[in-house]
Amino acid sequence: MAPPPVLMDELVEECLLRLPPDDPAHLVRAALVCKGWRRIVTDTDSGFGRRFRELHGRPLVLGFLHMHTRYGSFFTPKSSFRPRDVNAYLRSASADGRHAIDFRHGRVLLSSTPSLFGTRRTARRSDLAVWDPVSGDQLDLPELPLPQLQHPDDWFCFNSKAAVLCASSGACDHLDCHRGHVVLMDATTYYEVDVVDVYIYSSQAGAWSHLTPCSAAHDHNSTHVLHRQQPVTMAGNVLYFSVHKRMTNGSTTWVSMNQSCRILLTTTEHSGLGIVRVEKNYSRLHLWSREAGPNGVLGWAPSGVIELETVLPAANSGSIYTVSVVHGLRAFFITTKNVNYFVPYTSFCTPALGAAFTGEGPTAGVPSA
Amino acid sequence: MASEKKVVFLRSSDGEAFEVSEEVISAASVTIKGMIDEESPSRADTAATTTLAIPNVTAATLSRVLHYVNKHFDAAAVVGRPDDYIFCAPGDEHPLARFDDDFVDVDNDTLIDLVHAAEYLHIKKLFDLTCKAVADKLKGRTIDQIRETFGIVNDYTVEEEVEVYRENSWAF
Repeated sequence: MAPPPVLMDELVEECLLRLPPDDPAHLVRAALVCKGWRRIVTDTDSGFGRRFRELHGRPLVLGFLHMHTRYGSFFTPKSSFRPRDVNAYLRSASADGRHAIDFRHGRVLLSSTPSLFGTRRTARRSDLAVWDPVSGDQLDLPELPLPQLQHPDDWFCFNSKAAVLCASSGACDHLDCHRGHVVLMDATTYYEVDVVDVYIYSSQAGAWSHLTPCSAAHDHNSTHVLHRQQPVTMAGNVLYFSVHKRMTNGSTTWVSMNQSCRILLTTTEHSGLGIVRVEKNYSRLHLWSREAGPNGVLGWAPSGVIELETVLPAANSGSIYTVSVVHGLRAFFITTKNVNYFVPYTSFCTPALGAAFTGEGPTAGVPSA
Repeated sequence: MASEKKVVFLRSSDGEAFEVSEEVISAASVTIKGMIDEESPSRADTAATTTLAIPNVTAATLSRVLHYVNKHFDAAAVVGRPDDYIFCAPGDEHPLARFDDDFVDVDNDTLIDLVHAAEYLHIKKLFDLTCKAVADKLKGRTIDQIRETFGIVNDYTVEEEVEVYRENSWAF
């Protein structure tokens, strides 16, 4: 009798490519069958990962990284993927006073100063680290240089925000670049002077560089201050930081990006910049997108309304705590008393729930790698 | 006669010949279309039907492949026999989905033979279907079951195996 047929290696690859993408454990188990199968799945040169994504479309959401200054940072899995050390790592980082302050392209930015505010000029960020939650690798960054701003007083107020992103912004789809080089951006605004101070760190160069400070002021009575609660948003190849206007006579005039995050920066279906306005009683979300008008001037155009009571009939608007934007996925993360809802909005005409899962505590959701 | 459909004969590795419409098999199999095109100049001179040798595929597998090909690529047969459509809801992605499910509901060895045949004959739809069926067989099995099912020798050492299990404990 003929021996039973054995699949040739290149056909094993074709079969493994067709494993259902909804559970990453399938691929891990397949990789442990024998070394040959592991090579097929993990060999970056063979492009298995790229082909797998091409065949199955949008990548799976592995889970959410909650970034919370009071409750610490933690990871809530949404698939079977449970990297062993993620939450242990986050707990020990929290114990050291370090929090996740930004997340992008598969990397998490950690710092013990989530939002610098009204502090001494010498108290610059000195403990920034970039962490890859999938591999567990951590890159500690050299100390940020002191601000260039010449100020007669040693004490002055400033707000600072930092963001991490993949160094190759060109052709990269940012789905499998977490082992590559990173770029960090640290922006600082001052209360007394209307200047944005930007430092950029490149892991390739291994050093910080300073951009020429730019001013946004159109009048002499106000300064622009970075909004501390608003996350940094990336649309296309541009990072957007929210600012509010502060009158220099001492009072603060909150302009647009305030109201306790009732207006959120987001990205649109076409990767442009958008904003979401949350109605006061949480009944509706209004979506706006940044578009060029007929005369070529950029403005905000309404792009849709999401009736939360229609989308989430189980969650009456009175029970909603927070609405946050899931960056990179074009979805909202809505927290109610007992349940966290994950509402995709690229297809909000037929508002099917992407997922609903129970969780606890207030959250600010961001997708994982 | 012009109205009569041209046929070719495919001879399996174990010597059995199967008749199939030239038009149908050409639409289905890139490999056989290539063979027919190569034969064409000599065929014009004679009335004899062509017999193509398929040395990599056994009679059992070839007959299954042709069953699939006739279902999927013979427009006349599909139109003439609407039974397959009767049970299909309008929203079904493929009117032959049920046929496909039954087609790959076979033992592993038969399925692997079909994957190889689909690859050799270059029948893309059949290749996708059979590879997906293998993947479906993999997903519900433990690692040991996968090794047993597909006749794979475990070449991890005990230490390596313990290490990778420990590293990936979430997947089990």
